[in-house]
Amino acid sequence: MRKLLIIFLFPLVVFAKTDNSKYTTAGNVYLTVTNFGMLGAGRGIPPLPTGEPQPSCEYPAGTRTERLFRAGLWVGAVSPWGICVTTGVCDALSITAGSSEGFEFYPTRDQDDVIIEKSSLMTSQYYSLDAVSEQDFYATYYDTSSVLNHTPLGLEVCQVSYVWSYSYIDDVVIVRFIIKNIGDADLEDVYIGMYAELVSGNRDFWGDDFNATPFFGHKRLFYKDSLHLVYEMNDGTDYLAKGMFGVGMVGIERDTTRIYLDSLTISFNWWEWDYNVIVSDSSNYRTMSNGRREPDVDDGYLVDHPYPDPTSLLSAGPIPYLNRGDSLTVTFALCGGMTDDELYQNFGWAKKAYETNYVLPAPPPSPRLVIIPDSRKVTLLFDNSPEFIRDPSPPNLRDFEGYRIYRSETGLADPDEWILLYQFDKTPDDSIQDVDHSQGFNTGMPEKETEGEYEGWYKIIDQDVRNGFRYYYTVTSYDVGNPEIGLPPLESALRQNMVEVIPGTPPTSEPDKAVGVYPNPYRMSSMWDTGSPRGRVIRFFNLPENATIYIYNLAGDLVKTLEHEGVLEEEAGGEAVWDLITDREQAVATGLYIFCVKDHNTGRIKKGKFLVIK
Amino acid sequence: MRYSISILFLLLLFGCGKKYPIPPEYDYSMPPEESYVRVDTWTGNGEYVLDNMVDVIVGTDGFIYALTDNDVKKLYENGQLNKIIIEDLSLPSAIYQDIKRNIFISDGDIIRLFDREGDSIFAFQDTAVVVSAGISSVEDKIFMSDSERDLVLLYDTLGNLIDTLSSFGAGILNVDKPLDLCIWENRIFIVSSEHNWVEAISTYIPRVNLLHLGGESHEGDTLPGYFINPVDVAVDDSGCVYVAETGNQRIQKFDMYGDFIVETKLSEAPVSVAVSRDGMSLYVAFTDGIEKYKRPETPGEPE
Repeated sequence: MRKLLIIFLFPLVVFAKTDNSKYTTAGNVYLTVTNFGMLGAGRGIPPLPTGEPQPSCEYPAGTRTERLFRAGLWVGAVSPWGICVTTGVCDALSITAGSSEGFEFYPTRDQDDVIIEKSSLMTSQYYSLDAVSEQDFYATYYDTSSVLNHTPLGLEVCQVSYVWSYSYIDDVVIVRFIIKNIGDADLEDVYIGMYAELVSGNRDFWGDDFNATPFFGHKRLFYKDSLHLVYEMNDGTDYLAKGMFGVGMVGIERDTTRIYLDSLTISFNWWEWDYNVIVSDSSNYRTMSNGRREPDVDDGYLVDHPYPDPTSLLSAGPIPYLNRGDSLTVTFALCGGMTDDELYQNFGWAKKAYETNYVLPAPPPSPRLVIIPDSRKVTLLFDNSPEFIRDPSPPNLRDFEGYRIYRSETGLADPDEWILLYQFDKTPDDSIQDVDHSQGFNTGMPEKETEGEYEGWYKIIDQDVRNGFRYYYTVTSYDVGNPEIGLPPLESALRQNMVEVIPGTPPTSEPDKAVGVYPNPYRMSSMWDTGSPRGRVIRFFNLPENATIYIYNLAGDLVKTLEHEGVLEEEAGGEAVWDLITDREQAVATGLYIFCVKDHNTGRIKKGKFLVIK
Repeated sequence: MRYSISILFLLLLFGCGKKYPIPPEYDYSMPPEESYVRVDTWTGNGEYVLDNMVDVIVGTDGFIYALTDNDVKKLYENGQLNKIIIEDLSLPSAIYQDIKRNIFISDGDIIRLFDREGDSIFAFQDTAVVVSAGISSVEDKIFMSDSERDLVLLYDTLGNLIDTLSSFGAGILNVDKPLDLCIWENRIFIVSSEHNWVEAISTYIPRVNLLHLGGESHEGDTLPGYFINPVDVAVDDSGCVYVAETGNQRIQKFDMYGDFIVETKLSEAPVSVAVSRDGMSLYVAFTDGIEKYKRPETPGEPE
């Protein structure tokens, strides 16, 4: 009997490989996606390699404004085991993957079963022919793991998220859930829901550890019936968290048949977040199916009520049956906007994307870009491949109109970080006449390279640069747009082909070209110092291609040996940096230093000196 | 010793006949995880009453359908009522749910077809039928047993009689008082009650015997592998066969090759037996209720 009991009570151990390390970067929303039914980071994700926290749902991208603590899929149904609800996420303080009640979706135990990234961009390392958007994330998970107080419905969920950088839809992340009944029984009266802890908070206002702050005490929650869209905005306390963000239901398909959302019971519920309350499946099912439209949590509501810290659930159903082996596809869109109207417009684009099966008007891709750094100048070479690309949206015309060349000193996503250097616009007499090219500046295309490896590529030289400084270049393509449907000219993503470069002298072995150092003298800092302990650097210039640099103090002690080899892609090749740290890992003292450069190709030695003042 | 082994071999070869497999000896060392333990008894609650039970099945949709003498109750696997799905039956004797989730009921000499919501789709009557005791269906074919005329008949979905699968006789393709029918893959299981046999006949032509249970004679026995008055048969997804018999008041389980696995003793004579797809749960109907039996779950090996 004891043996029987042990067999009955032995819990299944979950060794699932949970993955929450991916977040969308192609658009204007940085949303963490997971392979266990959760969107957003919640708590407990290690910081990025840069030391920055991983965004949970940063919108607009780069502003450090978070919009979502976490969200997750809910599926409720009547099964032979009774009324069951599988919840991807619920009110809880923390998440322990694989063991927490309410976190009931998990991937398989296969260690390779993590999130897969694909991209429709040929320039992306994740390029795939079957990619739908510029950044697809694919994950598969199940509700069949042994989780406390969880009765599995027998679901396999294939989650796919789509992101584009196109200006009209870059504020949107589309998330599709393909829900398949892999269990032993049919499911009846199926309801689908999206649980969301929407909340705005800027990390610069609350600090990076803002989960420990009362950032959640300033939500205003709204529901737009006609769009099936729940959204949240800050009450103004956090003045840095501008705009609003929400999640809406875009569509439901059974097999390939789309279900008219208004034919279903749509429920918008919110409740006060409370991790202490354990809610039964039947109670959750009642909530999912109650058809209720809770009042908005706006300033008017708070006149008569205490602040509730609302947690929302947007649900729809019933889908009468989900038989064994059958699938159901539910599509949600997470999107932001600076105003109500902009939010609705962005969500409208999500719906259009869904209706057109994600065949969207797209800008031409950015061209292939090669950068050749030199002393006080940078040569940009790019091909003309975008000019022959047809817009994927009907009528599939070659609607390329021009190129824009940008430069930045930070390379960040924020458009304000970039300056437009040049714009080249097609003339009306262009050889490709799919569309009217009379609009725009009609400057014509730039000159082409006439020789060498890049013969036939466009060539631009930027001479407004300083040696030793880091620059980022990008060349975008834009099309003519489509005024008939209110679509402005679309431009490829700003950083799609971004190249980092540091101009400097090219390598030289000429005897009359002296090797030098800049800045010289080095006074406390230089303009390109990063501020980190090894971020203070001086640069040697006019170096040979392969050389060794010996640095001595005035006492004749060798303090540092630097090997300089070859040509780095991003640098001119005739320069090397020294972080002012000796071979003994000590910062150099103030003083005069002497250096010798030995050219390995010629054996020639050049000498020089520099001064460090600290 | 050598002689006795030879005699035993000859007996096996000639004495027992080649037609039928010999029921294996009961394995008293059967591991406990193969045994079924009663975990619940359903007689009804405030919502419903289970009396005058006729048949029970685990539907293709996973729900339990209890057929009483005048209605069909759709139950959760914990015995709670989902809903009374069909009412006002007159002489129901068997129920079956097909792959489309339509529900067939043999009701006197009428075959009734309902959709999964319980709405009537159509019915047909074969006036030649005296007592339709079992029903099953696959690929637009409807199988029915007539226990009085000792026939197993095949109809199309319009109710046209297209074939006779089995008729009265003593052989393995014959029946004597056929009762319940059950289909698994390409075989139809027939409870031949007066033969004390359960036969599996091909659903395709030519009709061949694919499995025989119950020994070589018509006498029946109390030994494992034999039956006395079998009344119902069910098959799980792995092809294991479950036979309910009133004479021995037990459920016997066989593997897909007909080898005996385990028996479950009952307190009274069963009316019907049903099994979950995974073979973990048995639902045994008696006149006034259903008993649920479970096999202990074995933990999976962590990968």
